[in-house]
Amino acid sequence: MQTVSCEMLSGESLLKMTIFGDVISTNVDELQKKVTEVLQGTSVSQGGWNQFVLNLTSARMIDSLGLNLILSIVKKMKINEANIKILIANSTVHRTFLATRMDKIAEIELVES
Amino acid sequence: MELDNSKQKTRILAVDDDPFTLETVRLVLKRRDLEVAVASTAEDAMNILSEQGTDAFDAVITDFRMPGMSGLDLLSWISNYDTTLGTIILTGEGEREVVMSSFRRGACDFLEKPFKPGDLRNAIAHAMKVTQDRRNTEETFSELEAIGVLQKKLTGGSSTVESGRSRQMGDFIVSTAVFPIRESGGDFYKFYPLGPRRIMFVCGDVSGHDLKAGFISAYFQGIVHGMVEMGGHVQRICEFFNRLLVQDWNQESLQNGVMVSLSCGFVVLDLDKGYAQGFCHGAPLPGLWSMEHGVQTVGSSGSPLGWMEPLLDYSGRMRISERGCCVVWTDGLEDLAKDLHLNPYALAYVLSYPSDERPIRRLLSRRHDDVMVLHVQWGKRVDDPSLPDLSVPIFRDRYSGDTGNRIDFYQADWEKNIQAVLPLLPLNKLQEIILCIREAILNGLEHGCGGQGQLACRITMALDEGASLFYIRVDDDGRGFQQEPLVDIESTTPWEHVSLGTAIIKCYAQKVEYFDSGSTLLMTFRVGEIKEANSTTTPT
Repeated sequence: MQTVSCEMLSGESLLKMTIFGDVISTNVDELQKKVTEVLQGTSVSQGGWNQFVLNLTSARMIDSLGLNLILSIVKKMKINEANIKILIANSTVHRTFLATRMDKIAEIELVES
Repeated sequence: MELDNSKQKTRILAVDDDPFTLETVRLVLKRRDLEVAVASTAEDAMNILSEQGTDAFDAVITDFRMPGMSGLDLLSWISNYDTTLGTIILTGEGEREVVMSSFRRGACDFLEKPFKPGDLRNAIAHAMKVTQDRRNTEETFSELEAIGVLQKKLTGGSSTVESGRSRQMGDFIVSTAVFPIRESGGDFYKFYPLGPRRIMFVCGDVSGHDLKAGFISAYFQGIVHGMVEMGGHVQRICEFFNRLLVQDWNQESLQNGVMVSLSCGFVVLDLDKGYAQGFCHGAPLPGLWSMEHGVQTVGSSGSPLGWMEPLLDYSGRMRISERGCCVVWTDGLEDLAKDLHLNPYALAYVLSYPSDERPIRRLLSRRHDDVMVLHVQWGKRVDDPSLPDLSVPIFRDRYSGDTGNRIDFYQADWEKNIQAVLPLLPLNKLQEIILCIREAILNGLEHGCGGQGQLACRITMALDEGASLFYIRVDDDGRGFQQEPLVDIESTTPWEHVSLGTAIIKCYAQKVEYFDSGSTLLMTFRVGEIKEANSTTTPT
């Protein structure tokens, strides 16, 4: 089952990473490995993109360990000085991001699922 | 199987439009001294049964294919009229569907035409035996019901169906839920007010649901009643009855191998002295809930009465808070909870506080034993509106410190139980509460217990009277700590998820309190207004 995917869009100026499902303590280690693999992929590592979108619209739950993973991804992407946006569809996940002030380090967008 | 000819006037009704078959049946059974009445149609058979009464017959054998009403129609009519009468259907060869339909209509056997005399005799003998057994059982049930009524009159306790019956006894509010399999025997309870602020109650279960069980239950309750009136001590009462069972009842029973035992649990609550005392002999331990201490069980459980002598004293005593709740149930509730994959406290709550949104009939259809639960609350203060309503525990569990990897399994359990208790709770509210519990338990296991298997984390959930405030208490065996919510997300390092967890909890819970340097966390969630909002839009 696919857990993480990455694609280059808008003429290679936008990098979109999708994490499928919840991001929680019991799967963060596996997701961390997948994210690392994906980011080391040729097209991603070559750079050239200036927008990064993290798609979390299929997540119903993200716990504190999951937030840590998101945080580490965002920090890694910030090195490229890209605009970062996180897409969320679940209202509880959205509220959790606001409560933990994730909106201070990335634009959080609540989208319809 | 051989026909029993010892009984006088054994009568069989044979129904067939074929005179040859009727004559064959009559001749074969006459040779066994059975009296045979005959009818050539289902309608005639109904007339005979109506006029003479179904109890005038010991079995009915009917053909399937007849002009007018069929044999299946006759079977349906008989089963509506008398569920005890054994019936046999005669079918053509290979009419499997007819046979299946006949069983659904209460037939106890079938015969394919043409049949051999031996097969007919066996089928009739079987049907007669079924009739006899069913009639004996029905008679026993009637007697059990009579004993149940007598039991209630004698003891003032109850063994009849009660669902969420609440009443005030001095400073105590008691709620009882009783769902017996039979009207007597089985589970029983009784309250003994010992003053406005002191109460004793007993609940118990006798092995079996027969007449003997009903008698022993009534006898025990009578003895307890009398001895309590005389100021007898609970342990002495139990020792006396244990001796009675071991030396008198079971000594004799050893010969035929059927022993009788009685499980019982007594609880004494004394609000002035501030203690609870429990005496348990084979019964589940009473749970004592308070906001200050979570749920604790009182005493240890010894063997049921009737097993062996001497009866050891496993009673226990503990201090109680000014406000709290004692929950007691019998093993039928634990078995049903296991069957339903529910926490016993959640099931106890659902059965004791029924409502339109929590129908209990479906839950009870799975029970194989009597189910009984008592809730006894104290500390209600009508003169102090600042105090929250009394609360009732709805979930309790304990997780070993090294089981953080099972958190998803635990989470599914919380979800299932909260939904059973609060079925109208909106999904987003449920997700928020679950997320907070997850954070609290992960914190307790990983940090409080340090992932060590010899330490544990405990969770108790409780709901107030109006189901408007939801309390979740998490305790761990660690030394505790208290961490403020993070201030600067930018500086958070990947291992600082405790801060994030605290921030999440403080975001969703109405109130967050730490005790014992943070090794105890009490979260309060407001769920009432959501319930009210929903009730206006949800059809009842």
